[in-house]
Amino acid sequence: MKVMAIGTLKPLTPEQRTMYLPKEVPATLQIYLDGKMEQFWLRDKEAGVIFLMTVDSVEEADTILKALPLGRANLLTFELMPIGPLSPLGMLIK
Amino acid sequence: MKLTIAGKGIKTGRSTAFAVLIGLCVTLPPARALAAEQVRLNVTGKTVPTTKILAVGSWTPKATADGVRPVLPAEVRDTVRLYLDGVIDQWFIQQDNSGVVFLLNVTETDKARALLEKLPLGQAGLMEFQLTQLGPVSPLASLIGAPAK
Repeated sequence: MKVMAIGTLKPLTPEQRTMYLPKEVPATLQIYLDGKMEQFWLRDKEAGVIFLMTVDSVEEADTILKALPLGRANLLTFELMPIGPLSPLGMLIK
Repeated sequence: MKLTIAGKGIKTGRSTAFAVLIGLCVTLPPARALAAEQVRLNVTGKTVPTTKILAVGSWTPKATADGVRPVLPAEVRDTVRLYLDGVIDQWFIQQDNSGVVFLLNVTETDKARALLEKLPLGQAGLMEFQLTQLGPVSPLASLIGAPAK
């Protein structure tokens, strides 16, 4: 299933950037390399991130994202939305 | 082969024969022996997970505009059903009308082939698909020194 993960980032101090980002970036890329993240964006003004996840459940997405360094530090929190095909299109083929 | 179904530019007579010849030259898949000799360079040494299948659909040599037109209404509906079932992730038509390109939420080639062959154009032998398993761009791992999998 697909889960759209909308992440909101707390403003980071320079010290926090130095502490977390060198670990956060590779950990995020690893999620992509594992085939769990299809697409990734940064929200404008570094408000957060948007990840399109391909996972077995919302819980799996939650576990993966909370394990990220910024997630563990509660600096990046996610709203998780299970999404799917635009089912109303089905009205057109009845 | 480029068939114009909806437009007015349906080729007839000699021009059709010519288009078929050109189409065959352009769309014939490379010989199997050649494919086997192609370089498959695994730079990273990692096994790439399959996350999608790219399906490129092309008209078969026997497809004609007159043969395809009556099948299209059912083809469109069944394609929409594949999308609604979550099988088709993204869908495109080749701009030159030579076929379609689907990105499938399927990881097994056999399953993808079975689903696509069930479509009306596939049943009628008018369209065939070339399938390619896809995965994350594994060489990006070299940026992070990720452990081999």
